[in-house]
Amino acid sequence: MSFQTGGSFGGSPKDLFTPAQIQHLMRVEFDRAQRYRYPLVMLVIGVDRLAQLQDLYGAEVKDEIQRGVAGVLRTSTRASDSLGYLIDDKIVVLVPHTPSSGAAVVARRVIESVRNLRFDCDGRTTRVTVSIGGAHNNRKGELAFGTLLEVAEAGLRVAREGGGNRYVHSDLYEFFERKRSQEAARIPPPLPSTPGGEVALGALGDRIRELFGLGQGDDDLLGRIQREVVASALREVHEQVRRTLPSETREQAERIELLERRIATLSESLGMTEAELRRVLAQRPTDSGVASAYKNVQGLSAAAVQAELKKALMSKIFEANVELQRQLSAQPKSPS
Amino acid sequence: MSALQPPSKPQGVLYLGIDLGTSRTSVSASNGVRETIASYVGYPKDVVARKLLHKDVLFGDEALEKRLSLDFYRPLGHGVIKSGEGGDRNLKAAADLIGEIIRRARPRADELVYAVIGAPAQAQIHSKKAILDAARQHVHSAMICSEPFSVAYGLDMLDDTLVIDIGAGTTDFCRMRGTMPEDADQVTNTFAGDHVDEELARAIRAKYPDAQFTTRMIKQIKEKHSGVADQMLPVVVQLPVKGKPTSFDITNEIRMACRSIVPPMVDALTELIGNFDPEFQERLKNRVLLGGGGSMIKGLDVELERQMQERLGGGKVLRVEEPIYGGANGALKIAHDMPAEFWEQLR
Repeated sequence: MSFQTGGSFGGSPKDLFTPAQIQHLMRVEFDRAQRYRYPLVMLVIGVDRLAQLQDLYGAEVKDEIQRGVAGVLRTSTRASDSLGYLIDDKIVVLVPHTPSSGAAVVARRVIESVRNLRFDCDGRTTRVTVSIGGAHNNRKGELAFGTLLEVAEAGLRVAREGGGNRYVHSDLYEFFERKRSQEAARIPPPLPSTPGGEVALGALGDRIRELFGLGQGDDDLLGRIQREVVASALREVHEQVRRTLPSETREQAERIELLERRIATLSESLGMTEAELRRVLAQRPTDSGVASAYKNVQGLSAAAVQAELKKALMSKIFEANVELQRQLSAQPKSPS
Repeated sequence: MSALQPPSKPQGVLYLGIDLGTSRTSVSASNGVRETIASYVGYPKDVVARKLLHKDVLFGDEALEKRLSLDFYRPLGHGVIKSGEGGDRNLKAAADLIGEIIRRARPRADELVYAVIGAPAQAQIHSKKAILDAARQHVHSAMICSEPFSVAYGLDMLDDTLVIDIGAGTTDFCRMRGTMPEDADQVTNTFAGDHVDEELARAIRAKYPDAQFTTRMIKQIKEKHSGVADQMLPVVVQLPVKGKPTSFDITNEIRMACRSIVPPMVDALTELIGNFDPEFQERLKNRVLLGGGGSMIKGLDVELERQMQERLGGGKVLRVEEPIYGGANGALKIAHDMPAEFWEQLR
């Protein structure tokens, strides 16, 4: 499957899928991957400081850079991979049948290739770099397509904030997944915009007409009653959320307390370890010592009192010690 | 254990003179450091003691103070490393004691350390070997020499001098006659500091049976009040009697205990002077050098002269200026005067 070849979806000036097209294709591919349990990797790629380059050299240069990067991506990816533009000039690549480790390999290859590109900007040769955020579906638990995209985009943000020219896999799946579920609980989608909303609203209107005996000319009244009913239902939903929040908050508070206790225990252990290390450090011979007055072996001075006698005495002491050492060397070593 | 490895690029030579005594171990070093510690070594009895003391080994007065928590050693007896039962542990304690006194001399890591260690005049060969073996773990080269000889060498009194070195375990006598002292020139007896302690304890126990004391208390009393003079200030000490501090006059007991070492000393002097060349006996009698911790007994020189007058017809006794460091200073001087090639050969 080669969606980007031949400009078949020709809406993009760079022969890539448009944001709507690529999102649709990615969602389909993602659903298939989740269903048949095969690995899939998503990369979101952004040219570093592209806005500044546009300000400096104009939109033509920006387009040229984007085309160049798109060209690199086409040569660096397989025909079965999907490439498309997102908003804010980001490029997204969906690489099916690839494990998470493969994402880093692809990303490094793209970064290296883009770094080797040269662009002519007002007679000056300019190089560009890209930042890449990655995500994969190889994890346990629920995973929505939106989460995959948000994780990849978060990685891109981190990569850019870190100076660009790098690949980051943020691993924030749990965070985004929780955020999504919280948002879903807090803000119920308006009935008309949800799939089947129109049908539900129609059924509600029919029921109201039946209950209040309204005719065809009572559309205004029907509308008001419908809004009241929907508002009342929303209030009820919010009330339920409000009721469930304290228990959830309490649960989170308990978790926090448990973690704080663990931190306290670990801090205590750390304190004990540090105290022990200080003790060991204190026992180390840190004294650099006092230098001797002599740099060389001195020996007896010829001018010393009774020098000859002392010389003879030194020889005698030495001979006695040589004999002692000989006996020491000769004695059998102890088993220890 | 193998000898200490020399530094890769030696930046100097530190000479050490060590007086390894039964009671005190002293060091004089060529970097100007002089240290002395009581010859006690203690190892924590168990993990609890180790945790409490925060040390693997304690030395000197600190070991004595904490001795109830320690496996406690006084590794030197009669001036040499104790052998027999617990000999290996005494050897280790002696090695650690030597290591500690060397550490207190504060050698630099880049210096060669050469040490001369004083041993009792008539120490047996196996005792000297044990000391040397222990020392070699901590220094690059070591030699043993007779303690009284090192005292005399330190004072340049190499001929016609009789050195008396009174330690805790032994009193060493050495006749200096312008050559290396031979066995016949040296006498060692055990009428020394510990003997005075035993005599004093026995005398107090006999006169005041209710008085309670330990050997350490007796030693402290002796170090503060020792004297042999007929006229001396009354020595009144407080000792517990069933928990109650009680005053005891021990003037006579301490005098007699201290005097107990004098007759054996005069015996040894008589022996060494009596078999010396008759032409030089008079000169030898008039150059008796008194050193070691025991020489701090008040009036000992006068008492010795008095008894020498009675038995030898006269004599002159000089005190070493620094009794604690006399042996170590002499050993340091020997270490300094020793030629380089001798040190090299013994490494």
